[in-house]
Amino acid sequence: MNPRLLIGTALLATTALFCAASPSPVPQQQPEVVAHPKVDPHDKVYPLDQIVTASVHDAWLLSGKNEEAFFDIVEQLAQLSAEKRGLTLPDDATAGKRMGEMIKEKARADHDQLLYVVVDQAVRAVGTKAQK
Amino acid sequence: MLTRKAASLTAALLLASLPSVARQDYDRSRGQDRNSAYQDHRDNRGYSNQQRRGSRNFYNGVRDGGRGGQYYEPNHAYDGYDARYTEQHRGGIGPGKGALIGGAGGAVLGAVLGGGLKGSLIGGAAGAGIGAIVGDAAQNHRRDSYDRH
Repeated sequence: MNPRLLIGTALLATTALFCAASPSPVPQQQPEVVAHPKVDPHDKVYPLDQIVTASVHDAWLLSGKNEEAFFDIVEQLAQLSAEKRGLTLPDDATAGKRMGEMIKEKARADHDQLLYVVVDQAVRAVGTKAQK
Repeated sequence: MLTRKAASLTAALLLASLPSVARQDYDRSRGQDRNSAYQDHRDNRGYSNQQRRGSRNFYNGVRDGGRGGQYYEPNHAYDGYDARYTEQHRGGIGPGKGALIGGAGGAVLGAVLGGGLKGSLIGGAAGAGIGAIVGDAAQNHRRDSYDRH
């Protein structure tokens, strides 16, 4: 028997064995991620599972260190938080500014905390209970 | 006779490496579904099933209030955190890409060492299988290290 062919066959058999032994691709059930409506069509939409688990610092990296993009993330998180808590956010720039200042202040205190926690606290401070 | 055996082994190997490639396709299509879901929501401005939370006016205020903040942790500039985070979100090589790279490399090596088309085929198939396994392992390693951090 040709030794080269023998080595090739042995290599193939070994590889086939490794392939067969590798874990089967059972798709893991993952929680469905629900997107939220954007307020501005130009806003970038980030995967919620990524931004909910992002620290302030992570979100800043995700935004490409861009303030506008960072606040696209904040906006998405605020919508999620308000929806979860059944709160309505006021149609008021002054209240929005207050919320922005709150986020800025809390974020500065600890960049490694979850951004969602920061936004959620701010939403609770400015939001009002939604009417049913 | 031997060629037939090698061919059947090659086929078996390719079949065996299909699951990891299929899994990547599954992940990719899942990602596309998710992205298209975002797209659907983005384009559907009727908000039929979800109440709008906050107005443009309000969010402009949020941006004004949050402007000029410090959102970056300076310590992470030197501890390798940023590089790790960026790497984890870049994707890297998965089983599909691994199979392609391994297949191409194996085919070249097979042609050189094994000689001719037969060596190229066998080497390519073996490389694809090994590449798929290594790519899969690399992907799992990235997921594990992401979970740890």
